[in-house]
Amino acid sequence: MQQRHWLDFQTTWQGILAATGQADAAWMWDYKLRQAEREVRYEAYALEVEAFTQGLVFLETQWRRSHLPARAPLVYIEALASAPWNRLTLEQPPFLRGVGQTLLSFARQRSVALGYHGRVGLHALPEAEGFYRRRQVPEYGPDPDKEGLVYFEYGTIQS
Amino acid sequence: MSHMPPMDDRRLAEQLAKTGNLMDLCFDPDWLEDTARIEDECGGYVEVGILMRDYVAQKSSAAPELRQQMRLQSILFTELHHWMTAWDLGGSFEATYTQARQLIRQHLQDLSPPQQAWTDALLTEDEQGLEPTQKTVRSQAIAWLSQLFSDQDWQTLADSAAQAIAQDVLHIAQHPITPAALR
Repeated sequence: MQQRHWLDFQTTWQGILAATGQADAAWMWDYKLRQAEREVRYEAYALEVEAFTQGLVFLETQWRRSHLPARAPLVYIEALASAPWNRLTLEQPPFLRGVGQTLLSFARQRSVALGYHGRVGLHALPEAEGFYRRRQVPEYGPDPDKEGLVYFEYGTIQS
Repeated sequence: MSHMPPMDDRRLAEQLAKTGNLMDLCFDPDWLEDTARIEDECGGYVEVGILMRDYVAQKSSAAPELRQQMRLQSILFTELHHWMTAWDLGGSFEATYTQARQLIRQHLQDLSPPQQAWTDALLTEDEQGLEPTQKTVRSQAIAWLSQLFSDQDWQTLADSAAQAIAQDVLHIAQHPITPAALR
């Protein structure tokens, strides 16, 4: 991920948010990018199509552990987002489809590459819980440490 | 609480055995279609993390306008990238390209009527699904961009390029090569 990717987010993804002064998320991606540049455990990626950012994902790759008793290491998705014009509820048809799953598959690939066998953890926003349930991702209930967001965890990839 | 394996783990396992890279699934049209369909069924929401809450909660009624802005920038930035690749900027490419994108964004906020007419024509042509060789408006994009940049913009781009190179050199100075590394 480069500065231009979060600038796409800041200036175009959330044109309305910027107008209403809700710029927390734009600030967050800037901060995450700087974290990824400074600390090797953080990784930030953008999905770019025709020179424009369509998806963003920010990973923590070393400190997080599984919620299962074995406490195995995993890739934790700190943040993941698809651009608004890719969302069916806002745009019909969406400009791109499958951005979220592509980013999730990338996170699982990073988990495999790091020797974590595909284990990936995440806290889904309420609007996205249905997507993770539909994909049958094991869920572990609301997490009080994350303002009640539901924790989902992909296990090892098994045939 | 559910502990069933996710629905496409078998497919992922097969892909790992086959190529060792899950991202190769992006070349499988069946997998892509399944993926897109499930996202559609769930409204397209996939977002993760507390800090994305405001972004997701925003019920934007201006998504079509944002999409138009995105398409315009996407076309212009693609052409800009092709153009700037020929400038041989080396290590300063990314910083200068990023600066150029920002300058274009600023100009797009305040286009003259002829400039606005050209961008409208560019978007109309884009929606027609023409072959690249038939896109006559788009073929003018680099010339249009070169006229869009002011003298001050060119100086800003030159300064960005010089600053990026200077930072690279100073980074080397701050991390001197040890004798052991030279052996």
